Amino acid sequence: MSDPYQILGISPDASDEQVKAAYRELARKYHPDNHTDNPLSDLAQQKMQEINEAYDAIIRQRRSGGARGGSRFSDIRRMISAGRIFDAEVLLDGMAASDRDAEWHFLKGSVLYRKGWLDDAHNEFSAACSMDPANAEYRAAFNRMNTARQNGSYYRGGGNQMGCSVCDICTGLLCCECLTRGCCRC
Amino acid sequence: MLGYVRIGRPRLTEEQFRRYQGVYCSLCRVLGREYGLLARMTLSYDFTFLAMLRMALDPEVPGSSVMRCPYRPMKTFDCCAGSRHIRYAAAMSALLTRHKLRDQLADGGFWKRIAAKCLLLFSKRGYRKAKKQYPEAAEQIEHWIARQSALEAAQTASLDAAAEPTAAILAGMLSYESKAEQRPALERLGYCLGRWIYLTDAADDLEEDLKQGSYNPFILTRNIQKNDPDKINAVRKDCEQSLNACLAECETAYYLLDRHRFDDILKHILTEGMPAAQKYVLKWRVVSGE
Repeated sequence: MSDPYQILGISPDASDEQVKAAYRELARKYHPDNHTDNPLSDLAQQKMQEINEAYDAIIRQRRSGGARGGSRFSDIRRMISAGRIFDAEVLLDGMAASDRDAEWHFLKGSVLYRKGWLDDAHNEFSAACSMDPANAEYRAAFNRMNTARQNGSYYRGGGNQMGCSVCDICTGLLCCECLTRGCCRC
Repeated sequence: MLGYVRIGRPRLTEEQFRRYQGVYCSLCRVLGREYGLLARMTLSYDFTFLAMLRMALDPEVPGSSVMRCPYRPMKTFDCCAGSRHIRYAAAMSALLTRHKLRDQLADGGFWKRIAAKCLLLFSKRGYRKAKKQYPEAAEQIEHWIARQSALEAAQTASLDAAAEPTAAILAGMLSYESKAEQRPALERLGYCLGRWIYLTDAADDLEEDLKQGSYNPFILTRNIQKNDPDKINAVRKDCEQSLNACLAECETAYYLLDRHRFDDILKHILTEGMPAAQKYVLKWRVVSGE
């Protein structure tokens, strides 16, 4: 298969949102429903399959945390997964402030987390999420960190020392109340 | 090292407590035997944890015999003072104590300074002895302590940067002579444990440092003025979350180690003793209504 990005007509640097938008646009164009009883329906079907495959390939690639083909961060991602934390940090710090997008903050956060600089890592993950709230990868890292900060553990839920369990009880009661009220109205 | 890495005693069974006490009392004994009577006063929970963890990772069963404490002759304990891990912990204690005393001499109160001055004179011989046994460890500690002083002089506001020297010292201390496959987990555990100790101590000193205007990273990150309850409440939340993040990392790293003994006690310290110590420290009295 040729370059999936080329098939969707986007650059490898495109955000996940842009990928999705490009896919939707093309899918609308080539959807078989638009070509029923049309001499071109076979061709449309073939095009549609191509687009589906390209979209799936990009999503798979991005979900596996693998480097995006040609992304400017692919080298840094490779370094981080190979444990070359300090090299990755030097490269990241060398980037101009204007180049620091959500992915930059996410990767900087990953480097800091591996170094054990847990507070700054938390701030970077937070920045990445607020710049690109739809990104599942950034969100997962940020949520994991928040779980640790709330519970003091990745294994035990519901705050062993913070009184978070009290909050949980409150939410539970609130939910209960809503439900029973709903029932009464019925 | 300041004794925050401790057990929460009521939750340990009699049998578990006796095993813990065995290591604690043995460490006290070795400190007295190798570094002099005064060194016994520097006995701390933190180094008991260090000794215990290293014994836990060693497949070799430590020999033990029932001994009596010279200061409380009615009490017996299971002595394992022959273990090389206890001697290691005692040496590390001797190395760090001297730096802690120097620190006290620099910014403690009048009486504390006098006490520190006296103890410093006595700790010199022990320090030299420990340094001779573990020259690399001593050098590393000196390097990081110097870095700590530089960071404090520069009034660093970053918690991560301020905590790094202690974290790095602990990472080196825990992973010393460890097996290659265990090293990354031990370094991580040590780093996050050291970070936790440093930040807990900073949180503990917050009131005192506010009064005296001394260096404290929490004061600088939030730019607290004296007795500003809103900011202190905010910093308490920061503290709690930063410390929790360290605890979670310590626990995760700990489960990756091959433990041969003391697993229940070490786990208890990490998941109950340390959170309890943290909770106690964060009860600052500056804020009313707590």
